[in-house]
Amino acid sequence: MGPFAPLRVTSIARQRTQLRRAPVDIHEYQAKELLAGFGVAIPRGGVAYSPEQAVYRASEMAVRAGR
Amino acid sequence: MKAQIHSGARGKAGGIKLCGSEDEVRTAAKTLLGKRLVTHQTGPEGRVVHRLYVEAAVPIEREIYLGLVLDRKSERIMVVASPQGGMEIEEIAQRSPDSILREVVEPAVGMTAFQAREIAFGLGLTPAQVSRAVTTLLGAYRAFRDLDATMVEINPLVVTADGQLLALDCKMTFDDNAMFRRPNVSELRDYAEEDPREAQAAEYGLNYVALDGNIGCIINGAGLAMATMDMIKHAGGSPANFLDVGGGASPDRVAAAFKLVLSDSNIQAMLVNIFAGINRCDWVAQGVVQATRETQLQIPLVVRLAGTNVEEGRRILKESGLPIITADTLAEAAERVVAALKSSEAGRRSAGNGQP
Repeated sequence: MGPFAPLRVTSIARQRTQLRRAPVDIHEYQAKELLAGFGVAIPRGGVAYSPEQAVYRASEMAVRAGR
Repeated sequence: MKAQIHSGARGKAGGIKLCGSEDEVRTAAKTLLGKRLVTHQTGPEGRVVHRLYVEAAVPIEREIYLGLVLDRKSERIMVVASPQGGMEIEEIAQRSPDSILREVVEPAVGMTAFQAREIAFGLGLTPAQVSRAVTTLLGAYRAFRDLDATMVEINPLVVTADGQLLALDCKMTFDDNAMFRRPNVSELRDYAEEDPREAQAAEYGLNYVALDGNIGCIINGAGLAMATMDMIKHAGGSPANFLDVGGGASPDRVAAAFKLVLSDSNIQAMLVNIFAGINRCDWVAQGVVQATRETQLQIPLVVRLAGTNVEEGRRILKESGLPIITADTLAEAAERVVAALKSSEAGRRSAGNGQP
């Protein structure tokens, strides 16, 4: 590359926009739990990390719905 | 059943499943857990599902959009609402820009009930629904303010068949700089969702951003890091990361930064560029030598030191006996690292050709 070649700044400029400190993200269910604490109404639900826990959560809801 | 990943548009990617029985719940959970979901927000690499949210399905009559954002122009929290919920706000803005309601909140007063009512009536809600919407709006505002959020989005906020208002999908983001006083929020951070190297960098107090090049960079000062990345590009190379080791970096911190940058498998050359004011060149040199030895570095390393204790720093590098390439100026350092990268690539190619 010669001494007067144009600076390849476009991609750096694009990357710069990513350098702003990223905001902290949380999951949907966590946002719902936080908002519910401030009086926002949310549907009944629960988090699950395994199929067994998911089935348990579903049965919990069925009981509370009176089925 | 909803896959919990840090991304919107999960429905289109198959991340939301409607289940009618326990068997369907089990099957859906088995399908979703461990699955890689690709949405237009995740990038092509997608996100792996580790958590599910099992939620009671509700009969939906209407979908409303509700968002609270920081408005840079008015320097206030702004409520953005639209009766056309269920799609992204960008899409609403494109399709029916006139449907969007905006209300700026005065921080000294907070959101008032009349402001909330005005939005609720603007959304065309019935009187019974309006009072519920006011509760939702005031609650969302207080959550935003009291938790140092940067965004609260309820989309859709649904009106159910029996006239209730429920937040069907929620998203919140928070100000990283306020996390020191929000332990209950910062503990919710899911590091599995973040770039592991960036998370590790945060632990060491380093400012690191992964990029897609092959020259690893360790620099002090964000401005110098930017300038160095520009100079690498100018010399025909491509930086693999942005890294600011900050001021007063100890040898251990420099070594930690070194290892962090090297953990990116794309790295084919390293550049250390330190203009030491608060920093000390001798500490940086010690850190570099320590990390080079511990990692048994096989790729070219260029070090440019200037400023406090520079002579001592150079002496440490020289006496280490390691094949470290030094440079006196920024431009020289960038040129040397690119040249070293090219010659090592050429070396590898010819070595490869030499084998049967």
